[in-house]
Amino acid sequence: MIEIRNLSKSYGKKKVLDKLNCNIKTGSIYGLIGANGAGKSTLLRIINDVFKRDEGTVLIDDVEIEDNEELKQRLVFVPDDLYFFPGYTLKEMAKFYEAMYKKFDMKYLEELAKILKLDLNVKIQNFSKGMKRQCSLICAIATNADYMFFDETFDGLDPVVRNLMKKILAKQMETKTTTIIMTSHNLRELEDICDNLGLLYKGGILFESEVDTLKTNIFKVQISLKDDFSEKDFEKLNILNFKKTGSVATMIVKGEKGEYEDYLKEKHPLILDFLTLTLEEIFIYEMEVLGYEFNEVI
Amino acid sequence: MNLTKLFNKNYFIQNLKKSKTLLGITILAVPVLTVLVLINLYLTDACNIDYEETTKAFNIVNILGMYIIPVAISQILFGYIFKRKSIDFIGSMPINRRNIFLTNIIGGILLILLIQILTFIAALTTLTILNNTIINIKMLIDSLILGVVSYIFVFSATSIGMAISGNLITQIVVTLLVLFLVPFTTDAISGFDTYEEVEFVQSGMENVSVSTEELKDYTMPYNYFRTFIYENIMFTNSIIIKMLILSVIYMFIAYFLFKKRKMENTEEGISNTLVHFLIKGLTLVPMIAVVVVVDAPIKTMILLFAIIFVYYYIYDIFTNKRVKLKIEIPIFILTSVVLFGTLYFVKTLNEKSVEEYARADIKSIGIVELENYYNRDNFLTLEEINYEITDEKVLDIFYNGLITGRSSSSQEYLIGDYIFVKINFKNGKEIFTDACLEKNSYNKILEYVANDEEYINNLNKDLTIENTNDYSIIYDNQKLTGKDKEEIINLINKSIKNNYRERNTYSENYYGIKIIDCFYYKNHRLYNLRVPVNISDELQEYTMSLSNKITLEVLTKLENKKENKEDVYYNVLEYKPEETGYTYYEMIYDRNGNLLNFIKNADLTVSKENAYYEILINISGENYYRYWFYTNAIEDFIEAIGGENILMNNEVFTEDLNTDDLNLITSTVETYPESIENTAEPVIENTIKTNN
Repeated sequence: MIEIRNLSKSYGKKKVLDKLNCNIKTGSIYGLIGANGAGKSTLLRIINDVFKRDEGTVLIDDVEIEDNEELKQRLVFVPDDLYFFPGYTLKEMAKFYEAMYKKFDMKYLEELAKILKLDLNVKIQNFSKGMKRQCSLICAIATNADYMFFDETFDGLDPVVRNLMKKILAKQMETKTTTIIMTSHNLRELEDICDNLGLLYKGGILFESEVDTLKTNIFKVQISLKDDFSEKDFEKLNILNFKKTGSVATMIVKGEKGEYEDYLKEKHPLILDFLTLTLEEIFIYEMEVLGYEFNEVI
Repeated sequence: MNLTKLFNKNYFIQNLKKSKTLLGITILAVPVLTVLVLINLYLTDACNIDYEETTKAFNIVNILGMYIIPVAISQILFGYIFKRKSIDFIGSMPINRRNIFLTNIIGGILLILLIQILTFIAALTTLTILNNTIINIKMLIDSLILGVVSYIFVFSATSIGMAISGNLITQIVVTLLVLFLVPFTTDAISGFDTYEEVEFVQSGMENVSVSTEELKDYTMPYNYFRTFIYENIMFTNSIIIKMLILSVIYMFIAYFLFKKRKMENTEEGISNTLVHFLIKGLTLVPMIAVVVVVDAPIKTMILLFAIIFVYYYIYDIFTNKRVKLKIEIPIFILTSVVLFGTLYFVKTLNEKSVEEYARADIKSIGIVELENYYNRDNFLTLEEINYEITDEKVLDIFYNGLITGRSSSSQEYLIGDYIFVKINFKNGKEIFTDACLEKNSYNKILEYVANDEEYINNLNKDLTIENTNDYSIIYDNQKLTGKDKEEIINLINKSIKNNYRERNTYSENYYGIKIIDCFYYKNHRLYNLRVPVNISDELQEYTMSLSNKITLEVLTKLENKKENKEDVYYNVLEYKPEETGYTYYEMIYDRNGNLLNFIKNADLTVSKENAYYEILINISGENYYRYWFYTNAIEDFIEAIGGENILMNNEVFTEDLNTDDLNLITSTVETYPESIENTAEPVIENTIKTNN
């Protein structure tokens, strides 16, 4: 488990992280979302001991990460801006990882490279941008680290590769207790991968929840009643948003579906449809509740 | 202690692998170039005769490398620190900053050792193959020590630069500041003087000043920068220790800074504005120190300040890629005024600090050298002599006999003699100086030391030349070996022992006295001891024939290179057994190139019982060479070079040597009559005789 307490970091006079608190459960895929400059990369760099924090603590399985080589063996970080040694092939890069990580599995890397059709002996500089990302990802995965940090690494991968990567990660999490933390400024990139989501805004976690909870607790309901009606007729529901066009109303309702389904059926509606929301729509409505404009935040 | 905690071998190897090309160049540059320099020396025929040139040249690559190689090593090992991408990559690896730093520092030192050992082996092998007899194992070991310590010292300075800089340019700027700021500024404030002046107060007369000349106690990178290349001395032990201590201090500072380094500031020169202006301000110190030192007119001063301002402006472009002129101008003016004022004040204080001493301040004197029998540059030769004159009467003679210092005109020769002396003052100060004493005082001191067994014993102990490979004897441009060397060494040692007691006998028996060059390497420096010795006719004949043999080889080689014969001319001295002088001829051209044919067929042996020619062969052109050929076959020689038509210019004077006028004749034939007439004492040249 990763526990972050009162973490602060400034670049000169600009405060990037401000007393940030966060818990990331072991064995989950945690998606960290935020606008550009929100501090996502800074947070990952501090967790990985690349940058020094100004204050606060970062505990991984109750151990402080700063200057802790043993603990860093259990962490791997793939930054947004990828780096490969000049002129190196994937094989050579893998050897570097192998030299640094005790649990690095070269055979597994070769297997992954085969799946992704990456030639081990071609210089990485000759690969496309997407292939370079795949190289970084499989090198990181082959380290068998307990905690993997991917900074916008999935952004820009084509759907086929993305799907493959998802499967690889899923397999990884099945066989080993791996925790994955990934960031993106695009919610769509994370919604189908992550178990948990955190929204980083102004140096702190503004909103945090399990994806399943989000998806099963909030619905879009289209309803039409025989008589005229308004929002007040549904006062037992937790309505985040209500819009009525003609005789049909569209509501965003938060709560257990079973409970309010019965409640709505009791009103003998002419039309009653339950629609699933995209994660982005859920975030928009949740932000509105908190008093933020979604576009400001992401 | 677990060494793996200090040095991560895997990381080090991988770190090197990523920079294979630069690493290869860095490791091989010094050894390979050193070998090329040695081969070049061999090809120019200097490697077995020209001691000064060879000892300077063999080490030059290593010296120049000290400014480049450590920076390259730092770039290989710590280069990742100047790129954001690589910082993320390396910084996230399972190795902490402490181990990255220690691994790279230890690794850097290992690389330096590897480079130096390779250079040592390469030089030793090359010198052995080329049969070089000048560079001995002591020099190579000293070069190894110098290289290792200096490179580590510069490497430690680059580590500080690396730890606080965001890019390579700033790292270099900070490194240069660490290496040069203090010594350069100190040196500039003291006017870049080689000499330290000390004044002696003499009642009723002007103060007498003497100058001291020593290798300044700066670290070697600055010393070499200051003198371009060393003068015979490779280093001193105290400088080596100083550099080692500073290296350790610098590494501790670098470690502390590296641990605290804010990696997010990478790619910016120095992100902290105050530190940035401090560093930039420090770079102005040497420049403004020069402005303070130069005694220039106001226009030049304004121009210099304008140049410094332009530098101040473009500094930011190079280091930070942006300039804020509105802030720069007032800060520049403020910094300049403060620095100028401070340095001017320090300089003024420094000027007033010429120390004055009276007779009562002198505790003792130690005679280092009398007259010019030994090379002036080597007056520290006898530094180790633990001999002091404390006799108050002798000290009075010395003090009252002081005429003036080294900087005075050559007229001092007429009234005084030079004495290299170590003066110990009662306040603990110790100076070495080349003082001029009026002749009467000089002779009294001479008499004193000549009769002092302790001094003679000390002198002999320190200056006994041994018949070993460490001592090389050059006579008439020939290196002597075997019995000849042994005989000459005996003569030298005898000459040293009797140097003072028999001094006056030289002027009576000048004919047959030769100046023998003895080269030896001791205390990290090359000594060229020039000793006048009486030489037997037999040995002279032997060395003349040896000269002939070498000249024949050289001329054959030159002929193959098709030298322009117009560039060849001779000076000829004719010796006759019944006369004490010689006949001198000059500028005889060998346009037909017949001399070589003559030499090829001539008898290489020479007899002093008959008249003989000493032919000085000058070959100008791209290079200048001088060789000697001796022959008794006078008629054959005249015929060979063209007969009566271009025969020797008999209008050239004939010098009949007079013992009253001359003390010595050097075998270099450098003492032309015009200069001799104006000089009471002979001038002994320090130059090597070939390949200028």
